[in-house]
Amino acid sequence: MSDSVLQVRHLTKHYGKIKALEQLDLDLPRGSVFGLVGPNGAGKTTALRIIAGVLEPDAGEIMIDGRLLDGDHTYWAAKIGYMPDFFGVYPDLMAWEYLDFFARTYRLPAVQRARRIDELLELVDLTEKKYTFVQALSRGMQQRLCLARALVHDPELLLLDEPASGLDPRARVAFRTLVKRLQQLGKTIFVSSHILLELAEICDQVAILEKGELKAAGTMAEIEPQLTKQHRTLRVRSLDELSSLQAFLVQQDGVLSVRQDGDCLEIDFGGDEAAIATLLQRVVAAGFRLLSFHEISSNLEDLYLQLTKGETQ
Amino acid sequence: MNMTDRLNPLLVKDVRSRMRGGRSFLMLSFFLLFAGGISYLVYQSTASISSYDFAIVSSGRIGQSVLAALLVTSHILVLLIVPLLTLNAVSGEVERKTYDMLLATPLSPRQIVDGKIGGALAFAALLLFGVLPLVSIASFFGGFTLADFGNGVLVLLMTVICVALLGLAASALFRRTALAVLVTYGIILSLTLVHMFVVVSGASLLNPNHAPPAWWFIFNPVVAQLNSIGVIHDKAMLLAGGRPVWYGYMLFALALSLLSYIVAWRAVRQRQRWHFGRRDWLVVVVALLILVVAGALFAVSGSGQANATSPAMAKPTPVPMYYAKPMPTALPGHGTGAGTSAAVTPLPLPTLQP
Ligand SMILES: Nc1ncnc2c1ncn2[C@@H]1O[C@H](COP(=O)(O)OP(=O)(O)OP(=O)(O)O)[C@@H](O)[C@H]1O
Ligand SMILES: [Mg+2]
Repeated sequence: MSDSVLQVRHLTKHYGKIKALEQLDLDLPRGSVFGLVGPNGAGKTTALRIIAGVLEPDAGEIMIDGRLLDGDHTYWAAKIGYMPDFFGVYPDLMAWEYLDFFARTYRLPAVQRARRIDELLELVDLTEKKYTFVQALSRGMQQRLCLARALVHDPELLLLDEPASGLDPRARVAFRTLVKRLQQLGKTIFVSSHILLELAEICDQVAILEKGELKAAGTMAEIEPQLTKQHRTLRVRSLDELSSLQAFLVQQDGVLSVRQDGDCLEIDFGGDEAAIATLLQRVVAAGFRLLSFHEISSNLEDLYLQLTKGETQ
Repeated sequence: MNMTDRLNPLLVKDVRSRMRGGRSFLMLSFFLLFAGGISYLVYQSTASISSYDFAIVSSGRIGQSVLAALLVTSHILVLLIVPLLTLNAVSGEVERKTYDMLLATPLSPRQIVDGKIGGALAFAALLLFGVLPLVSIASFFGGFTLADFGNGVLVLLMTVICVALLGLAASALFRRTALAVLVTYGIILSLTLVHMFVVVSGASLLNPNHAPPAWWFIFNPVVAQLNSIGVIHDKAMLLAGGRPVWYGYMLFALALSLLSYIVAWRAVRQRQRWHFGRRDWLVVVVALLILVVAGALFAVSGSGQANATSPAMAKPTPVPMYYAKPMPTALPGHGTGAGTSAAVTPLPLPTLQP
C-alpha cells in the first residue's frame, strides 16, 4: 500500500432523504494534489467539511496519518488547513490582524507570528494590503487571505473547497502556481472544483463525485477510459424516417438517450466497443438502411459533463 | 514573548474589532446619556419635592433616589444591551460563514465560550465604568452607604454576566440570530414585566389581604436591584431567616448563568453536541460545586437573624433618611393602601427619626 496521508472509508452522510455522501472511499497519497470534482450538490463540500472535522458523518471512518478522527481535536486541527467554499471574514479587522487571530489559536509565539504573517501575505500577494480592513478587500483578495489563513500553522494536508471559484484568470494562473509550490513544499492538497479541466492541469489524481457517489477515481490517464466506458456519443445517419429509428433505438440495451440533430441522430451510449457492435447489428437486422454509424470522440470535459448530469436529488 | 499571547485569541480579536466600529461608540454614548439623563430627572423631581422638608433629610433622600435611578436605569439598559453583545456570537458566525473556520482551529469549545463571553464582558465593563462618575455625584448627597452601593453593583454585575451568558447560549443553541434574540428577550421580559404582572395579579387572586410571599420576587432583577440598595426592603421583601430578596436573586441568577454556560459550552460544537465524555462531566461537577458553595453562603447569611430584620436595616445610616414617607417603589399595586395590608408594615425606625 502506498503512503497515504488521508484515508476515507465508507463515509456516509444523509440529510433526510438526500444522500449527500454514500459509502465514499478515498486515499490521498502523501505529497499529491488530489482533485474532487462534481456538479452542484454532488457532496464535495459535505465530504470536505467532514474531513475537516466540522461536520459529523452518519457513518464511516477518516484517518489522517493512520490516526482516526475522534476526540483529539488539537491533533486534527494541527494537521489540516481548511478553506471552506463559502467563507466570510471578520469585519473591522485588518488583514494582518485576521491572520494574527488564527495564528494565536495555534499558540504561535508573537515573534514567529509576525514573521509568519508577513511570509503568508507575500505568498498570496497581499503584502500591500497588510493594513487594509478585510471588508475592504475584493472577493478574490479575501479568498487569497483565506488561503493564507489555512496555511498559518503550516499544515500537512490542505483542504481547499473550490478555491479558484472567485478568481480572475490571472489569479487562477497564480493560484495554480501556488498549488504547485505548496506541493513542492511537501504538502498534500485536496481540492474540489466543478470543472474537471481546471483540475486536470494541477492534479495528480482526481475523483469524480455525483449524488454522493464516487463515479471514477485515479490519475487522469486512468480516468479517461473509465469515463468513456460509461458514456460515449454515437452518430447515425439513415435513409429511413428518423423518428421510427429513434423509437427503435431507445429500446436497445446501453442506449441512454437519443436526440435528433439535423439529419442525424445522436445516441448517448453507455457500453464498451463490443456493445456498440451489437447495437449496429441489431439496427441493420431490423431493416434500417444506414448511411453512417460512428462514434464521436468527445473531450474529457464533455464526457464528464454527460456523466454527471447535475440532476438534483 | 508578547503580553497578550496568553489571552484567549477570541478575546483579543473581539476587543480589536469591537472597539473600532462606530456602533460601540454609539452604544456607549447612548448608555451614558440615558443613565445620566434619567438620574438627572429623578434628582430634579426629588429635589423639588424634598424642598419642603428639612435640608438634611432631603439631601439623603436625593442621594438615595439618584443612586436608585442610576442603578435601575443601568440595570434596565444592561438587560436590553448586554444580550446584544453575545446574541450573534455564534449564530452571526454561522450566518457570516466564518464558523467552520473557527471550528477547524484548535480552540476547544470552552475556549470558544470563554473568549466570546470575555469579549462581551470587557465591553460591558466599559459601559459600566462610564456610570461610576455619576455615582460619585450621587454620593455627595449621602443617603446610602458604601455597602449599599457595593451590593447594588454586585447585583448589577450578576445580571450582566447572566444575560451575556443567556444570549450566548441561545446564539449557540439556535444558530440563528433572530431566534436567539426572540428567546433571550422573551426570557428577560418574563423575568421583569411579565413577572411583575403575574406577581401582582397572582397575589390578589390567591390572597387579596396578603402580600405575595417574598420568594416570588427573587426572579426579578429590577426588584433585586432596588432591594439591594435598601430602597424597597420592607418585611414583604425578606425571605425565610430574614435574608433580603436580592440574596435569593443572586442565587437564582447564578444558577441561570451556570446553566447557560453549560448549554453554550455544549452547543458551540458541531460534532457530538450532547455527548458527555468523562472529562466533560468535570465541568458539570464544577458548576454544581459553585452552586453548592453559593447555596451554603446563602444559608449561612440567614443564621442569627431569624427575627426578620435584614442586614441592610441593622446597620446605621450615615445621613438620616426620611422613612416616614415610603420611597416610590417599582412595585405597582404593592405598598399602596397601607394599613389594610399586613405586608406594608411600616419599616422599623432608623437610628435617627425626623
Ligand atoms: N445543511 C444541510 N441540510 C440539508 N441538506 C444539505 C445540507 N448541506 C448540504 N445538503 C445537501 O447535500 C447535498 C450535497 O451538498 P454539498 O454542499 O456537499 O454539494 P457540493 O458538491 O459542495 O455542491 P456545490 O458544487 O454546489 O458546492 C446537496 O443535495 C445539498 O442539498
Ligand atoms: Mg460545495
